[in-house]
Amino acid sequence: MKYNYSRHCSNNKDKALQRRLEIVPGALSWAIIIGMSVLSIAAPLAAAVIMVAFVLYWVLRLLYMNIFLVLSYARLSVEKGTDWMSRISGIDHIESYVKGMCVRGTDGNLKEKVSLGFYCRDLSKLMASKALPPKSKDIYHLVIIPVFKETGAVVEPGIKGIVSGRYPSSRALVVIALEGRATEEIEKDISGIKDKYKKDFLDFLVVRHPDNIPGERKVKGANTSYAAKEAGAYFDKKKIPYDNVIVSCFDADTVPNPDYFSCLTYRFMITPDRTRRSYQPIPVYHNNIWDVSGFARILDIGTSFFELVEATNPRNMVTFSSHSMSFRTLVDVGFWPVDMISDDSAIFWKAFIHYDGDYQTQPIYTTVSMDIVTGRDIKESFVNIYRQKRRWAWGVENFPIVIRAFLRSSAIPIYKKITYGYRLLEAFVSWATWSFLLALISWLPAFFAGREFATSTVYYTAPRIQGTIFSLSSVGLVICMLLSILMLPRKKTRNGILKRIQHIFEWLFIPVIVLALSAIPALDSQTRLAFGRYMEFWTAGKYRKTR
Amino acid sequence: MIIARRILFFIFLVLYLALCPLLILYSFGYIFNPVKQEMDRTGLIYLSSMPEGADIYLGRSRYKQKTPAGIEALTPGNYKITLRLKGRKPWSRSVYVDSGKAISFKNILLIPKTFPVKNILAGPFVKLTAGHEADYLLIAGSADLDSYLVYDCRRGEAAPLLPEDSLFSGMPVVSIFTEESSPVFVIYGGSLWNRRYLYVNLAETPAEIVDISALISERPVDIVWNDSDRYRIFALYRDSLDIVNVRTGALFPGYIEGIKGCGISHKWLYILDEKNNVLRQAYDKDREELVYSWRWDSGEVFKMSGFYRIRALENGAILFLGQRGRLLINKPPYSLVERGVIGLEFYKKNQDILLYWTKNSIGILDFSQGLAQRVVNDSGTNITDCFFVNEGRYALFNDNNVLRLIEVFPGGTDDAEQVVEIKNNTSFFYSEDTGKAYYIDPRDSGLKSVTIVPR
Repeated sequence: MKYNYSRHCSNNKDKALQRRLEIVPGALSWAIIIGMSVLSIAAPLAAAVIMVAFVLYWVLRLLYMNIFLVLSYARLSVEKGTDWMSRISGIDHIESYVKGMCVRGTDGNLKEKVSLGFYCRDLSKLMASKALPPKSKDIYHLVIIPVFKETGAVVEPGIKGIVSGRYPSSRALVVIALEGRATEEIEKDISGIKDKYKKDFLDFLVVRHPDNIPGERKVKGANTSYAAKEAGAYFDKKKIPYDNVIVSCFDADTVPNPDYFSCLTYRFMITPDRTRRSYQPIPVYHNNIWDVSGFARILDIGTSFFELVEATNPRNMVTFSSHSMSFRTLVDVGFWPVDMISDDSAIFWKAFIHYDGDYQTQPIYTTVSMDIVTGRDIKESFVNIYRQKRRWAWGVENFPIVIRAFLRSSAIPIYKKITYGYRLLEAFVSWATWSFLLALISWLPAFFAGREFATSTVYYTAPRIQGTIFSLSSVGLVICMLLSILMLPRKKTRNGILKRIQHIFEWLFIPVIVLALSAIPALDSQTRLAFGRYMEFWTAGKYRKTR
Repeated sequence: MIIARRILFFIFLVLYLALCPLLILYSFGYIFNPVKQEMDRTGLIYLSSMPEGADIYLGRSRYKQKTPAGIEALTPGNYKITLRLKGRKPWSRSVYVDSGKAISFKNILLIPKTFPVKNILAGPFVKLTAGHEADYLLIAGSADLDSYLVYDCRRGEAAPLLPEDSLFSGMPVVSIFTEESSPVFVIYGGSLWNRRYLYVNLAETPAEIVDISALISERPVDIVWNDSDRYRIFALYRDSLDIVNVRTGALFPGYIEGIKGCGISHKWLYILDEKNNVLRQAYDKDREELVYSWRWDSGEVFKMSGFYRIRALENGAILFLGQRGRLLINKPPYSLVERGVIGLEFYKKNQDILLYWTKNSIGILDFSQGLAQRVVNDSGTNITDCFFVNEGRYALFNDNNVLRLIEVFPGGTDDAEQVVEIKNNTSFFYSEDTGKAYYIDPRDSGLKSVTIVPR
């Protein structure tokens, strides 16, 4: 469906609908928080019963997600160390490979056997689809790195990571999308990086994005779209077909795993509907993990866990942060939105609507590492993290635009409209409300109990039931503690063991951290959207300790 | 993975659909009775005690948990509950448990077989003075101010009130004015031809002592102040009040005139004027509101008892305590006690309950359900002082030089437990923070404490 994926509508009817839909998530979140608080005072018995039902739902969902967190982590571990380059070569010679390796099997360990099993299953599906990919030698990568305030010290590790990766960097075009507003100092830094690494790539372009292009807002998507169009011109000139190009849009601080591009190429080649997929790695925040406050560490490890869980359910997965897709798709859907802050998720919805619901996110079991937002002191860190999470939560801006498209489209299947629409709304509302309900409101009925309620059995049993359910959730907490330790970078750090022990205890503060730095920013975003106070892009503060 | 996800999703969905109604029904007291093969609705009893860890007996059977505990799934009927703890007297009640209802006994004080007594200061002492909910005691070895010691209940330390070279050495003490929760005392004394009023602020180290005699023109009915503004004191006379600023030495004589009663509550000055209107004023008179006008036989109401101390409660009730002990309230039945009320005690966390006492009885006013008045003890012979104990569930009182403890909560026993004997004509002080009562022992006249609530 041809659709202008923007909150700016061409006619008054759409404008009115857009505005009404913008109010929905915030109104719903506030209605839940205020409604439950009022109910706790006015009818504490009913509130206590609802809270029992909710806390049970929450704990079961938590345990359910924990199962998939463990499975997803296991899959990530299984795929770690896989020789993706040889698998890419296997797809190039698919028939002989299937007959040979898949029939013969491997003498390797259990991990290798499981990994080979996944591989052969994927190969069989690819063969059955008859949608064979281009040969690996014809596949190119486009890596777009937007830069505004980030210094060379932040950008260079990512470039270095691409060069030192297992996939030949000579097949990658790196484009630094430099904001026109960037300072001369930043430009000089980038120029130095270009001179240093140009020889390692197919080419290295620095594209300066002019300021104040009509129709654009000061957002990352405007910058990357401009750079992507320049890259398109480059491919046209070199006669490289767009279908053979995979575009990865990174953050300035993204450092891909050495296996990233080989794993991505493999996943691109083996996926039959390769142009109808976004490829989502697992984001980890290891670049400066030991240089930041405990609350920042816990929050971003939580984000990694969330993406790990999401990876087990590609049908509902939405792109987040650094990810990749076919350049053909990017061009067909009209690049990233140039007036939205949440370009990472917006591009998924844009493609989903463009292809009438025939589009999904494909998880790739490798990682990209980024910086945890921080500040020069704890107060600045707190404020910066709050603003970053509020920006993430501004992804709620997609809701009215997606729903408008769903209402207009007759080609998107109705069940997809309902399930995706519901999940989009539910994700944001639960993000903003659950912490309030669990940490604060669940205790209100007992607090405001009148004589009538205080003499009922519910007054005594409901908090006890809730307490038991909460203690059950500690199973999930222990799993998170263990996995976070396993996922931490192996690199030796000063007082490494002590830091890891300290990190385990940091998890105990999760209820407070999530309330202050996740739920409140989310509610803030939704309230701003409801009142039409639209946010501008804010570049997160990222600092590295000088060693 | 997708198939596994679906299977697990349905397992968890079924689990939720099964568990959720069961838990909700359980919270309402429903349990499955395997004998009758049907659901029974039950009730529960919640018990917590001071100290914790008492064995719970239901009839003759011992319950597996110790206090604090909720005994759930009790089918409707009568139950005898007993708590037993080594070194304490057993506590027992018979209760009727109704379906879906909970009966709660919170912070049951398990009375020790002998109350633990501790020597604090060797005497001899003749007098003990403290404001309710205060942290400091004034204890006197004689009528002279030199003999007064200050005892800090929180720190457990004592020091002389006057410095060695004090101008007030040898001053005989006649009476001491105190206020709730205030470290300030106003001491009245001196020789007949040279009466003095000393303002003593124990929050300062050393104690701040200011002679305010020049600011008090004649002997007032009462001297009051609010601890949040402790340098501004109000001298109440039969028909007027003066304001004294201790810090600046300023006196505002006849600040308000034509009054029949006065009191300070919640940083407001409450005035009963000659027309029987109750007004409240900010201290600096910049705001004045009429809060109540007496209609009920008001011409006669205030004739009898001279000056009235006023106390406004958070729930809107206003109490009037006359000099002859008449206790009135601004709502039916208006007159609570005709005469003889000696004092009032408010439970600080919950102004819905207050305690009053006369020479022979102790009563409770409970505002939590309208206004309920009940007498919890009417067998006293000479009750002089009374304190709430253990979050307003018990009262500790001095009856004829014996400290006694009585449960004041509904359903409590009428028997008052004897705690200790105290010296004739002395008061005592109970601190909810320490759980101890401080008194002067009749045998050696030393300052002692007795633990009422173990902390």
